[in-house]
Amino acid sequence: MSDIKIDLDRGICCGSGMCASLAPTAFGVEASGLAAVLPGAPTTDLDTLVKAAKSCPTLCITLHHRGEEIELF
Amino acid sequence: MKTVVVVGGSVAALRAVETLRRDGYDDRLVLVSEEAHEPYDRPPLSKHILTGELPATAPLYRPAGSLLDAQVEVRLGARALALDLQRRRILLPDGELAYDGLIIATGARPRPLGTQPCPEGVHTLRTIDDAVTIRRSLEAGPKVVVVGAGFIGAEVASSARARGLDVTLVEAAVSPLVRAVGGAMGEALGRLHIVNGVKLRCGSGVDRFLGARRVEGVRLTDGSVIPADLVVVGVGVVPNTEWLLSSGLTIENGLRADPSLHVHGGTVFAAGDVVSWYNGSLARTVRGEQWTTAAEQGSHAARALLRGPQAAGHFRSSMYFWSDQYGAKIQFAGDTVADTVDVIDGDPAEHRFLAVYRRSGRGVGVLALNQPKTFSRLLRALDAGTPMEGVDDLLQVRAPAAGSLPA
Repeated sequence: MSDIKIDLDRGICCGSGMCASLAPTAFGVEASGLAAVLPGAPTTDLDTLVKAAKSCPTLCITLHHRGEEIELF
Repeated sequence: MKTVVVVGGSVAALRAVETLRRDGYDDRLVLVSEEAHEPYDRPPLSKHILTGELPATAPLYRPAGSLLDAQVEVRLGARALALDLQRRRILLPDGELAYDGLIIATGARPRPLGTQPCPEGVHTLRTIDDAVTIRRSLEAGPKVVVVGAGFIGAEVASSARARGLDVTLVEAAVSPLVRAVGGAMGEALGRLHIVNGVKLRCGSGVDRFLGARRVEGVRLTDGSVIPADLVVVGVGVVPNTEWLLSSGLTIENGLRADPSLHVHGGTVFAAGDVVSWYNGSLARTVRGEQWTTAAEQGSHAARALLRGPQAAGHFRSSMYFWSDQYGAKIQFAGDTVADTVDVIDGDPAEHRFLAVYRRSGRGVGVLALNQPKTFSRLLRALDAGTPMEGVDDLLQVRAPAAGSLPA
């Protein structure tokens, strides 16, 4: 699964923690209150990553699979 | 200040407490919450908790006990009963609590429908306990009636449909989400219910619930009866201000604060669903019911308490909100009080569109359905301080093809 690339735009992250609840191996909430991508993210199941990205209140997570952006909606 | 008290147990209160600590306040800090849980995330309650995608436990924002690690005295299950401004004390069930600084973030509660009698099986949704009760009921495969097609009602209907249940959504207004996004766009978003198999009944309210002990049906004001084993009522919220009535503070659509969220004497501030304030971004006095607004208010109120309202400045907010329904994403920023609304991209019929609300010709709000990229660009610009009136430039709006609709 290392052909998955995960980006999280902390500029618009609102710190809801939804990503960390739904995909705890991929995302965490830092002491700053903002989310961060964890080292375990690339090996997290793709469906779980998509669910987390879709549930983000501000849609600040983007996913690429083998160079192609995954359309969330 | 020797003691700062934050009253409330949700995101505004949590952000207030965290900001106080982060910005260097290191004396006594007390969080008073009537909930039995440490602060938890409410948005999943109508979504993943009901569908079963998250466990049936409070989705705590921070690991249990981490507030204690930050030297925050957490008083759970404690409802504030009164506020004495002169003596700087709040009354709790077990006695008084003195403060030097106070942040009021007591939120709001579901508006009761007021229909009597109210048999078992009729619920509102605000807390994790409500959500767990509704979830257990959903697991039994009931016929579901949701009363009120606002965002909570819409998300409950969506979650119940995700379980394959028979769902009827009842709305007294002519279309869903009128209060949230206006009539034209409410109708456009309401189509999501219909294409996803929910029976949408607009234009009739609830006359009464049927059933002696447990609910068996709902009779509408047009005389029709809908069978029901589970009813969830989502008809708005009421700010929790009763405990402040004897304080002398101004209660007007919630607790009134000045534009910097300052309430009284440089010592009392407010944040979250409980507060109404002049929002410079919308150029009117409003009360928010949005997660992001509440979170930002919590931080702002903390800074205003520490540095003073002048230094903290006015609290301005684009009042961003989102909703997840049937796998679709609804996003909104700005104001829906507008003369016209233009669909500037996409097509409501294809469940993918972007619409701009305009007042006197100027853009005041943006609504998106399944348009994440454009909306993210907008959010970045708003975060960077671009005023909402610049929305047309931000979105590079051309003249609407189909003409304007009344908002």
